[in-house]
Amino acid sequence: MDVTAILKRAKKKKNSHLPDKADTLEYDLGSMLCIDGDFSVEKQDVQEEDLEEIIKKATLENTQLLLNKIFHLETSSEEAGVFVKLPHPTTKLPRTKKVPQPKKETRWEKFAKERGIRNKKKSRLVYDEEHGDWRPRYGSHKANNEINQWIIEKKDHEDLKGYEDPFIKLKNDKKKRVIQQRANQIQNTIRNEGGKITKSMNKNIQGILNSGHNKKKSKKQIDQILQMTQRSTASLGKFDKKLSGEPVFKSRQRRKFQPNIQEDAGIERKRDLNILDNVLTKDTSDLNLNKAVNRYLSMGRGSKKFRKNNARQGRKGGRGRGRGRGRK
Amino acid sequence: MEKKIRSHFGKRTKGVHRRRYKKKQPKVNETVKKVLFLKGRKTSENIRDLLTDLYLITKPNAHKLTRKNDIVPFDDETSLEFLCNKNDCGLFVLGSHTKKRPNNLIVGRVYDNHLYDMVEFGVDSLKTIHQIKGETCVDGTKPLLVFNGDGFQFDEDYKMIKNLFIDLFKGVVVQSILLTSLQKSPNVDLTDMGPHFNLTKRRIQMASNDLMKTATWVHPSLRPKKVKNVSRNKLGDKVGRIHMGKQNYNSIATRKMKAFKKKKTNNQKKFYKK
Repeated sequence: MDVTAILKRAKKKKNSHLPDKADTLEYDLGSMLCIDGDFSVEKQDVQEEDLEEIIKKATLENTQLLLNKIFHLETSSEEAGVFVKLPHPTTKLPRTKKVPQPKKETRWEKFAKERGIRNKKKSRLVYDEEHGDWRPRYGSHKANNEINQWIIEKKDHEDLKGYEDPFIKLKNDKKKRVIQQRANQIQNTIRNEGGKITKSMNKNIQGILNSGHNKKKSKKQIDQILQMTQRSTASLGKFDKKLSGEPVFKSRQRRKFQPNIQEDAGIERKRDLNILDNVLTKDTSDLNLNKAVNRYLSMGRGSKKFRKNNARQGRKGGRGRGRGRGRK
Repeated sequence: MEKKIRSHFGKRTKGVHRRRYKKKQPKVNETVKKVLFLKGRKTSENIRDLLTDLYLITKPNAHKLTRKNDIVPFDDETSLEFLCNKNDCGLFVLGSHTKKRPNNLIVGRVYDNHLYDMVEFGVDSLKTIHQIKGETCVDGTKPLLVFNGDGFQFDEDYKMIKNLFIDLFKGVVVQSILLTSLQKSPNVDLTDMGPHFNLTKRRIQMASNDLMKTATWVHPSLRPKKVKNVSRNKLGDKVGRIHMGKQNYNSIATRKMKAFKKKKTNNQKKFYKK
């Protein structure tokens, strides 16, 4: 009995996944690819359909070889399944962006490193005893805000001579700290770049300078401020020195006030009784309740549900201006 | 009503801008390279179909622009660089159609907001995914790439093209893959999915050697760590060598056995007695 034939058949069956050709491929398993250097076809010699078949056959064999290689890699079984650990890719591909420069330590980070100071994780909210609620640790609405103190004790050792208002002192200290913080930030950005101010840094520095209360105002806001300053003079901005191109805002009529204490007591009495009459004898039959309610709602007041149905399109402008300050 | 107006005007919540900015910042380890698909001054149906198909393959790391652009990269690349930068893409695929260059496809890369390299191809005999009936694969699957031909190993132009295509199709860089997601082993069967097309190389613009060096520079933390002294024997055991220094065998502290201890004879003992 010829066993060799049977053995050959068995071997072929076992190695059916190995293509007949020799493995001369160049592999990059990290990128899951292979290059077949032995493949060559003369386009003139072959017809279109045959070319397709040749390429397909070669690709099939090469894919098989590639897969075999991948399956022979180191595996690790995890929850999701069996994973194959790919080696490092060998093809050198270019990056899209430059490698970022390592950030230089700030002055505080350097100090903290030396002293071994580590960041302790703190809670975001802190209990505020005064208000009896939980407020954020940092920020303008923070818990136990010193600036909002309504009483400050005078310390015994403080002398009344040269005594400065402690409330004003608190506010000024805060302002100083803010300025100092900004200056530190700017110094850190400069130090990070190596001591020189570059064009690209300028943007960052401008951003720091324009933060907080110094936020850049829009043209509208600046116009509003200008209008206010013009109005705040006694002559309502009529005689102000104006720059070329500065807009002139319509000034209201100057309100005329009667002096508080009249020379003639009779006039004062009359005035006061007039006011009383107006208030007590107001004829409410003239009141258009519907109109009044709608106006109230359009100013953004009242419950959400009714506001929704009656709010005017566009919150700004029209009757809603000035946040609906009392108009008759 | 109020709420609707708010969202329509795109009121951004805190931190969105900061997070978007952070996303665009350069990272030490780049795993994804987005592709930008765009059209030139004039396009043909062929080219448009090819762009859609390539977009489908490279999803989700791709961005497709719909409008036509007056861009000729080989003359002026500035507007292209701008678009790539704005869309945060490292690769671009520009399709156009002119009498001189029909069914033109330009594939290129961007490094540090400037053009890195690009190749111009002529496309013919295109069969789209739609035309080829059969199964398709899920978005975002990582492909196996096979390059047939020795040109990809020896010819400079084709080496660059190979590099470009690897960048274009490789998807996300991963370190391990799920075995079961690979096609059932050991016998492989390929089904044509499309798109199926022939490319003829037209013009090519490669990166200078210096630029190539800086762009392909790998940060030391990402380089493959050489593990020394670890190997596996034929049984599959992990084997390593421990190196001892020079040892004085006479004075090694071994296990003491009383039987081997040299006993002092009576004469010797006497010597010490006084």
